[in-house]
Amino acid sequence: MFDDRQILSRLYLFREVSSSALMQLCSVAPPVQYEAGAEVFRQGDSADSALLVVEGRLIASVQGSGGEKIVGDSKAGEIVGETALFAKEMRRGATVMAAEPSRCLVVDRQLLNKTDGNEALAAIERHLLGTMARRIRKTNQTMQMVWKEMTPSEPTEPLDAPSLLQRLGSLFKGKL
Amino acid sequence: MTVEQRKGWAAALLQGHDFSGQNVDAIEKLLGRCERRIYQKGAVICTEGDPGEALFFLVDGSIEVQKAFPGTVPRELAVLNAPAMFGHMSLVDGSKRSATCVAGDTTTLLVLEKSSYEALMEDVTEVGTNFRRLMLTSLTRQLLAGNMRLRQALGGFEINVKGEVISATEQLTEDLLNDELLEMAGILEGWTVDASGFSEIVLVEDEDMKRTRESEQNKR
Repeated sequence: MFDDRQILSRLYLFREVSSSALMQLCSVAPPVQYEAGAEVFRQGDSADSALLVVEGRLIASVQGSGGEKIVGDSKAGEIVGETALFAKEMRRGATVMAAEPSRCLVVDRQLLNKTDGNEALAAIERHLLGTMARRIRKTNQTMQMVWKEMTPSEPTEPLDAPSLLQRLGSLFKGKL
Repeated sequence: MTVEQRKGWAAALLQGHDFSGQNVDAIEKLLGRCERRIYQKGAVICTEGDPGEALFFLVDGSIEVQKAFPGTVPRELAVLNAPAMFGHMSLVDGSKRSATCVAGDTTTLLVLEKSSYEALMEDVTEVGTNFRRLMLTSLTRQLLAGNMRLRQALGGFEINVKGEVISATEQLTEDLLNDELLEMAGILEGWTVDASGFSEIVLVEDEDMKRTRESEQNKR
């Protein structure tokens, strides 16, 4: 557990969190180890937790009509599957696997309730808010770019439907 | 404003919001940290493009939301009815106001200043925890609803193996696509979450939007 606490304390999001708070977090939810190639989530499974990558790297892929596509990866300090925490009856939008030996903190409702008042949990909640806000902004910015491309009065770029499609497609492949 | 009044508003805000550890008393205390302001019909509460220094809880009256993409004339996107929370995105990521908000009636707002917001972000008591989770619930809805809308929009295309568009349904003409994008932007920014969201939101429909809706209904 000492090792877990030390690994957590290296993460930027916990930079101002006391060791006792991190210790408590580890005792309630010790980080889970995944071997390289292990499946973490499967697309379509019901979802009620998010993962904070503590060490290693996860890779997300989506099974579509054109086969399997890798849509993104998450490194230490990043959160995966976070929409499952604050919505009901969610399903995983992607299959997530460990690209290398990895450790993850499982953030679920039980952890949220058990560690009420813990500053490490507050740091995770702030991190979640920042993550979601960035995703919302990114989606919005891409849509605004699409809008500009579609505006006939702007002669700089011609109307380019495949590019529009690709942009829209790239928006939510990995983000669901 | 009395504690009882705030409790009533807190309960209304929490209705339909299922998050771990939710507590009406904590939200009541949160509302107690806000300044109460009353606006007359037509008063401008915030302007698109301005920096955001506060978030708002709408507890009585209504708000008309107007939005434009760069270079276009603002259009009425939605009407918010009490209870609702708005203006939070500027505080979460420091972005500018994404829409102009005008009081639709005599309207009461509880205003949470940026300094109080920042203190609440660090607060480990139930008040801070409930506030952060209320925000997280709202952002989750925005993301999910925005993604769903994008999927629908993308569903209007058919592509060949090279990725070229071979057909697009008629609703994806330029004007309608603009409407769709504006609507998606509104959803993502938290203006038009469905009826299970923060507030009962009535989308104001113009002629174009009405035609789109009717043509979609006819197709079904």
